[in-house]
Amino acid sequence: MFEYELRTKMKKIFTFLCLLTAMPCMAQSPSRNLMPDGSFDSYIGMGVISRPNYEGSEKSKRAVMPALQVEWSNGLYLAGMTAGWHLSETPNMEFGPLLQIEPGRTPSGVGNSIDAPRYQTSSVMGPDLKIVARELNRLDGMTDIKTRLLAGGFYHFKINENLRLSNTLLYGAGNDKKGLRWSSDLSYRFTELPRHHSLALGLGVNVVNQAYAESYFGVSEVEAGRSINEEFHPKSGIKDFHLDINWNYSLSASWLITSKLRATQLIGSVKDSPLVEKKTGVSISTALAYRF
Amino acid sequence: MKRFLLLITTVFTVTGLGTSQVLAQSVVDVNKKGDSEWISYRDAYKLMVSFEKYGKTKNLIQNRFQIVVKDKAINFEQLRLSLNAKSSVMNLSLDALGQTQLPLLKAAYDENAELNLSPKLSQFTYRSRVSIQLRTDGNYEVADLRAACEQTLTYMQYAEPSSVAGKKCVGIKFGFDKRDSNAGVEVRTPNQVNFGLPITENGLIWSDNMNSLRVAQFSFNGGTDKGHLLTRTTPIIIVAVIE
Repeated sequence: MFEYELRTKMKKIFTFLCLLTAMPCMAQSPSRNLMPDGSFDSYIGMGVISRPNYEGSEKSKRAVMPALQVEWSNGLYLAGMTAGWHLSETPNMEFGPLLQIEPGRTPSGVGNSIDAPRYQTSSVMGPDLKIVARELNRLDGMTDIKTRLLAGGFYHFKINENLRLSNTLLYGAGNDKKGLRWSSDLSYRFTELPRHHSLALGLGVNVVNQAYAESYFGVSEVEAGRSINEEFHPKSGIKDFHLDINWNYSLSASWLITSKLRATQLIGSVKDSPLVEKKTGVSISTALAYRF
Repeated sequence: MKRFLLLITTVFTVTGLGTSQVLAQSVVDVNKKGDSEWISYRDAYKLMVSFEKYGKTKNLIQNRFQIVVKDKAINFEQLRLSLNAKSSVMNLSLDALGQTQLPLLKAAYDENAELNLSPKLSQFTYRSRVSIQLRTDGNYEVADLRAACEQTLTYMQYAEPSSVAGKKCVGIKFGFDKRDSNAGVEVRTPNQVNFGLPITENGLIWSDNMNSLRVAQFSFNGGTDKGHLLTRTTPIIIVAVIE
């Protein structure tokens, strides 16, 4: 009994961490040390997110989403469950090591305890949302993917006042811990906007190695035997293209509404995975955050 | 989508971070601060501290916080910029170009203070501007002006490389108040040839700033750095011309 309670408690904590991982970009990407020594700049808040159950799922889930970002004068920063360290002293270039928690995947989807937030919020959404289709789940019978700590680095380059190229390389995803993902994003920040609004439009690509593709989109012979999916072995390459829209509205120096939309188009061999019910996925989130 | 928006609204309300609370705070702010516009001091600090942390030679140049407006009719002498910290209010005087020296204060940063600009402007931005330090005696060695121009260029290459890519120092611009009828710059060369620089009425210092001044431009014509320039009255600003 005690073990069950402990597991439930851990599950809740884990849910919180996973939701943090899924939070949208905050007011600004953490940048190199531009503050007094010994100071920090931080945001904490709460919002909601709607996103696919897992990459390729045609079902989506909605959840309450905490938001957190802290940057310290020594260059360390925390953005959701991503932690990094700015080592560059050059304004137009940022680089450093990066750690990130990659949420696991169970038959419930990516992250954990999908049901709990959904049911908690459904009461304010109308009774229709309580009816959750459960007739078919392609993740039933698939091996759970454990949550992993990924390690790697980032390199961002400011091309001009509006354009910025961001790159992150992270290793350690999947149950064999050999998954490698390179994300490259070009973003354009609009400058001619009404006061207190900021808007950025981004286009990006995710490239993965075979171990990553196999972990998240592959179906082994054993899994094929116990699930509705046929055996499938994807190859390395471009996993997706995505479009990002980030909009921030500062209500005051302390309060901020941050919103993000990401549309992802799965491509390459992963799009042919039997797990992929829908090649295009959209996630949208918004949060109210307090800066302190 | 409607359901999602409803969820957003409800979550904000349920969590106590709701729209109603935010609106309430905004109303209080407006009542308290009246006809003014706020700027995050942290954001302004981040913008300005880059120059402070810059490690290369910068003894001949300076960095100023500037309010930038497109409306030429705005008179900066009628605008009031203040730093509102919890324990004090500091007035920051703006020059004719909307510039001021922003104090970099850890206490104000840590408490997330606001800068307030009044009366409220319909649209404006702010930025950092690098200019050349003024001399109280009005006597500028050409060699110093060239060195100041190079310091500006080197800093710009560090801070905004895309804006100065492939460009070099070609001269210096002096900006005088439009009402300064005695404004003038005299060039004194080593061979005792003296001449005054032509003054352009309603000249612009920067292309993205509409505030015009009486402007005199001195060009480094690839020649000697010997000689000096004398300003008849104190200019508002001296900037490097990088083309």
